[in-house]
Amino acid sequence: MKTIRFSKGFVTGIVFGIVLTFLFLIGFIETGSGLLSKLFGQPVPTNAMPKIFFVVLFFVLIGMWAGSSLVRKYREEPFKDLLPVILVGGLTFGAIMGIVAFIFGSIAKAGIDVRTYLVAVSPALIGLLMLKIADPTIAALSLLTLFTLATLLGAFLEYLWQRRFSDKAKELKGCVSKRLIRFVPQHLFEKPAVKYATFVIALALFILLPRVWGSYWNYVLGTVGIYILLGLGLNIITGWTGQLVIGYVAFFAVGTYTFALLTAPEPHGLMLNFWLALAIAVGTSALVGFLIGLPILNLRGDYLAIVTLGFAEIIRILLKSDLLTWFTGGPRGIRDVGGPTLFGMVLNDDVNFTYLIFIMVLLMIFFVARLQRSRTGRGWEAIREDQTVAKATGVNTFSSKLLALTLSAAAAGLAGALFASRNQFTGPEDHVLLVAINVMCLMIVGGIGNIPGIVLGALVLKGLPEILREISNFRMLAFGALLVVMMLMRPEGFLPAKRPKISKPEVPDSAQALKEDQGI
Amino acid sequence: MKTCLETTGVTKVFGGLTAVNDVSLTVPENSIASIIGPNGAGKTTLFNCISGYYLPEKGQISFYGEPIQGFQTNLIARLGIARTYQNVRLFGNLSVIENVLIGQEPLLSANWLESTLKTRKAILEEKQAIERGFDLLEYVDLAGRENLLARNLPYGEQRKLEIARALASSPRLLLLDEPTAGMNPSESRDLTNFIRRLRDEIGLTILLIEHDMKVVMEISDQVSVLDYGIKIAEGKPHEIQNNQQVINAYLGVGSAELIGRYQKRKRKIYA
Repeated sequence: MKTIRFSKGFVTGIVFGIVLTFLFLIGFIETGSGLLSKLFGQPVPTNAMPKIFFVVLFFVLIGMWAGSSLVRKYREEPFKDLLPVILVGGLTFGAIMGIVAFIFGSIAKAGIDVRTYLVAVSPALIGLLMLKIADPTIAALSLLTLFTLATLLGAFLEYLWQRRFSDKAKELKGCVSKRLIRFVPQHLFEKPAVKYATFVIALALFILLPRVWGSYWNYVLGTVGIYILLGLGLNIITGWTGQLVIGYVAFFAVGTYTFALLTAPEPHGLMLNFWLALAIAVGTSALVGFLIGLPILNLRGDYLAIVTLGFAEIIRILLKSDLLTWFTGGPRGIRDVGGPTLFGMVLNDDVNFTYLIFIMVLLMIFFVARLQRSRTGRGWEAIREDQTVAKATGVNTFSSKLLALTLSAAAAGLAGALFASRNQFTGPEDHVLLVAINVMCLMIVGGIGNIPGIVLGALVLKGLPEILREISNFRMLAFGALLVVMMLMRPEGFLPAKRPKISKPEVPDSAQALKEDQGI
Repeated sequence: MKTCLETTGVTKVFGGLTAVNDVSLTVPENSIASIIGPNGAGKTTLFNCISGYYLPEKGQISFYGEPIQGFQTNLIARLGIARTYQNVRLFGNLSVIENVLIGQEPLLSANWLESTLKTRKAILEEKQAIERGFDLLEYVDLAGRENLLARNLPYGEQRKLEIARALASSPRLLLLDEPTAGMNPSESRDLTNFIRRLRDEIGLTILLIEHDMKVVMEISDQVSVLDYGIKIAEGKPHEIQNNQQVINAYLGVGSAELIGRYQKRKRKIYA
């Protein structure tokens, strides 16, 4: 028997109340019920509010969540003992929402527009919160009832689930995964025939899919691919070498602008070949990374983070300013950036671009995977673990870090060139600090230092918002919430980095092998 | 016998504190030399001077006749001086074998391009490194633990791994900073034998800081005593044991009389 504490109900009610009030203040109630409405096959037209039924459903779901979180830990006790806690929780939650509705309702009734202070809170939104009931008092009371009942319902369902199914569900889960593992024999994957078959299937999918699924998906996956390149690049310096780089977007901007200036008809009219321009863009980014690293990588601590942060802002402001308009096109950006060509053919359409980005991503993965398993990669990770000891063990920390930053910048340059070429346009607004923060986020969410993790992170953070267009206004909120949840649930990311298994080489005598190799 | 390491008049000052004051030390090749002294005597500072963390204000440190003071630590590692730390400092999130592979860094030469292109040289070098790593781990009794995370090893094995990492670079001089700290008597006996084996089998020169007098007296060819940064005595273990200055440093002035009195009383009791 656990002691049942009433304060728990109170605290839960307050927390949920504050969270929902916050969601109301930023206007998420509308978006959330809109999403629900879409889920039931009734998309909300633009500039219209979702139906009141879905708002109620949204509130009920959140209330149920509050209720279920209240009883999660008590499953041995009879339900009637839990009832007071749940009631306290539900009433607190409902009371807070009721008070909020009453306050805003009264203000709206008095004819004051609060949008001067709270941008998102429009009269229509207040109407939604009040469930379209005109009188504030009645609205508040009905909200109180609604949340109390929803909390009770949620708690009851959760309790039933805990009592009846929780153990069985766990058992079943274990059983199924065991069966699955047994069902797919591991040794099958080691047979060459199976390997080749998998490879052929993957290749066929790779060739067919971009042709089939249409230009929208090509666009989304192209963005994801570019962010994978950025993520893998940032991972070299931040994930492996452990040197924080905040203004990673600076190198991206250098790549984008170098490529754009070299291939666009304006302002310089160079119009170089795609591949040559790509190489120059990558090279320039790498050079910039090298030059930035040269003076500061001998220092310890977060100087690199600060310097790159400043550098990113300087680049963005310079690109935007009138000072360099003659050279970079100024705030209007650069139009008609060149697309890829191969032996005279113009490969400008979205299918070919998807192929190009996929190939670049695969090459990059191949490249960084080999680097990680090499002497260089080990040196980087040693620097991350303990720079002092790494140096005293013989790792040249300065040149190692410099190499990491250079390669990292080169990857950003590659991503930038592809980005400019695909969009056929680039401007200062493509290079805000948010890009770098997105890259950092996808790396942390996916699993810092782990290549599959970064690919997954890019899919989740860049792919999902495209699918869930409705919540794109709340992307930063979603990022924040996701990061907090991640840090609590999986502090090392979705797919945390694992160490490679290294086994003893088969050849019995290395000296013998050396002799054979040299042909003695 | 050749001289492996020689320090002449090394002085290191931190602000107003002279941590190491005019210390001259000669370590002959293929021997075990110990540095002892009370806490804060400057032993680890001297180590840090030798391995390149600190630049001494005065004096010279030479390794096989070549001056090495002022060199960066990675260069000193390349010259053949490896060290361990007072509180174990492994690369905790890397596997055991990777720790030893990083230890071999001074011996490897494949650059990043060769590694990514997997040239013949890089493959061969990597294979040899891994093989050597496995042999080393077997030598320090860590066979079968290769793919564990270093931080998951028990304390004693972490100490062994740290020594293995230091040995991986095929050093000529090994600096051990309190290798038996936190070990029980049987573990430290094992380690004593192991250190002796390093001298006899591999022909290493070993300089160690140690507080466990049993270990020091058992294995040292030469013992130097530091107190307040000054070398107050040097000699064979038994000479140090009877040196009045050393006893004063450890137990305080006048302790000889106290010890005499204590022994007399003890005799009386047991008589």
